[in-house]
Amino acid sequence: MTSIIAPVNSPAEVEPLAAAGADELYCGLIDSSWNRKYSPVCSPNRREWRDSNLKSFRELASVVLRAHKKSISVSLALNAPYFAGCQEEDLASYAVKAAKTGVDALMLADVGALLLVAGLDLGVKLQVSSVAGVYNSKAVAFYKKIGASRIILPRHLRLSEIRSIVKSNPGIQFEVFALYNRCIHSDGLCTFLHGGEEYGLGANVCARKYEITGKPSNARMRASIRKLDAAYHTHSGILQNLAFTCGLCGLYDLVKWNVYGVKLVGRGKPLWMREYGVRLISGLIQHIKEDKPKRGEFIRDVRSIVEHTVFEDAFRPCTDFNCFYPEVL
Amino acid sequence: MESAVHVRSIRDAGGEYDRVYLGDEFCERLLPTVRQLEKALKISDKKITLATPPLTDKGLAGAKKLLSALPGKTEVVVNDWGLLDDVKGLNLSPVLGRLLLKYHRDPRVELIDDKIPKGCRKVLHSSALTQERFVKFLKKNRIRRIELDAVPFEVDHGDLSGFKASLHVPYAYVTTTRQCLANYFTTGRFGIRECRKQCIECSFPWESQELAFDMVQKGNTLFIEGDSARIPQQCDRIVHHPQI
Repeated sequence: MTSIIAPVNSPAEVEPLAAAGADELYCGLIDSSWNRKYSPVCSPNRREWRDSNLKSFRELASVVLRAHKKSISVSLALNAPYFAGCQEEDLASYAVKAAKTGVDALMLADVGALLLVAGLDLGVKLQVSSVAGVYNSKAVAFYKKIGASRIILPRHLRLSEIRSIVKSNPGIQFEVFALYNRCIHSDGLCTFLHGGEEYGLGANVCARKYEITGKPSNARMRASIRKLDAAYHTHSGILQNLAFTCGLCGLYDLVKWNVYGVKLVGRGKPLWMREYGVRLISGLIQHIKEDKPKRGEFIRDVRSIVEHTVFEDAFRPCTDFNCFYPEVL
Repeated sequence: MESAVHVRSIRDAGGEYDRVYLGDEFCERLLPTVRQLEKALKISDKKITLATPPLTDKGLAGAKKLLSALPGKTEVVVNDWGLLDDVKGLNLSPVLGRLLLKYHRDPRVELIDDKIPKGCRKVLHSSALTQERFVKFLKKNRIRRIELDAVPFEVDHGDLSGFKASLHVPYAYVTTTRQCLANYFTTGRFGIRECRKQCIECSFPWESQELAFDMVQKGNTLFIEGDSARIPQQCDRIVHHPQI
């Protein structure tokens, strides 16, 4: 069975997401104490905006309780790219408090943080976030040794590379992304600040417009820059952060390869978009299992659905830029 | 202070350097072939460090072959935890690469220093090396050298006793990707695709009217101009990158 893993942002969202077909939920949390001390700029997870996070452990406990009533597990993201030494005590306290809520898993990226939380022996599962950047089978073994039971593979892997990793590591669960946000840069290897609008930083660096002033001598390079310009409606610039990326064509292979879970990104996205995404994925998985389409047929079906969804302006047409797995196109 | 140079080919290394970095920290496609590496080892009169990038399963297999060609104790810059065991297993000297040493390299850090809470400021000016467990883990894994970027603001790397550090100049890496724009600019196709290593021939300056700093793209990676004068105490080596 392929699990559908969806982001949850408040206790009241549990039931609608469950009704849509979510099998597991994940969330982040910035409580008032963390917010005062570190602000969302140094979020304990890779969403540096408070609106994309639960606000208290009480809220987390409520999410867990309501999810467990639906037999849905919940993981808490503590996947900041790194923690500094001065945060170790606060991180440990977060992990302990989270475990007390009954949360099923903690999702981490930083090696030091993983070692710390593993050492606390909290009885919760440890997941390795995509922010850790696990690109090969030996890296999977590395994190398994620390205590990870699941790896969330980064967005920048080809389907064939996912297959190689999954095939080589039967004893561990894998998640991959299927819908919504992606940056052209690798999340786990990016060192830019996110967020910070409240301190005057403005938009993320990856969401700015740039002039590429290299004046490439090669005509093909000039043409490509113009094409990119047209794709993003910028003036000879690059808008990197792609909020509407789709990887649904890849579901056929992912289901066949028994990848444990497919994930929707978007803790900050409105609930209706997340519900819609879960329903879409759920329906497509059911289609693969029950109607048994051929791979080519499935990809054609998906493209015709995706290009005519309510997101049509964002998704249409399928291109290299709005696709998690453009090698399928 | 040891002076090193990172070059594509051993023939590009000038005589003034003590050490040559070969390989690539960011892209597995830019690793040398075993034959190229063996030739470099044969003709070089300088100490060699092999830099390795994040690796896919295919890249990992290629990197392992390179490791086998290295004499014992040769330094290998590791930017993927998946390679660490192989480096140790072959009695080579693992070095913590810039991509595995986590800290913010965003020049905008200093713009918000006086507005953010003290705790946040401390984090933004600290690297993961301030974590006791991480440092112990590195030592346990025989990592004794750290590769640092010359970012244009103060960064606390903690007590690095037992480690030596290399500082990369004049550019600091800020972000990287496998969806290589240099490849896109030269082939017209985006995504993780075959390439002809066109990036070796060109770099792309990025300018934004909205930001107070410019960037330069070399290959799949964006760099900012670093502050080469800010040399951390533990640093005993400068690594020059004339080909960015």
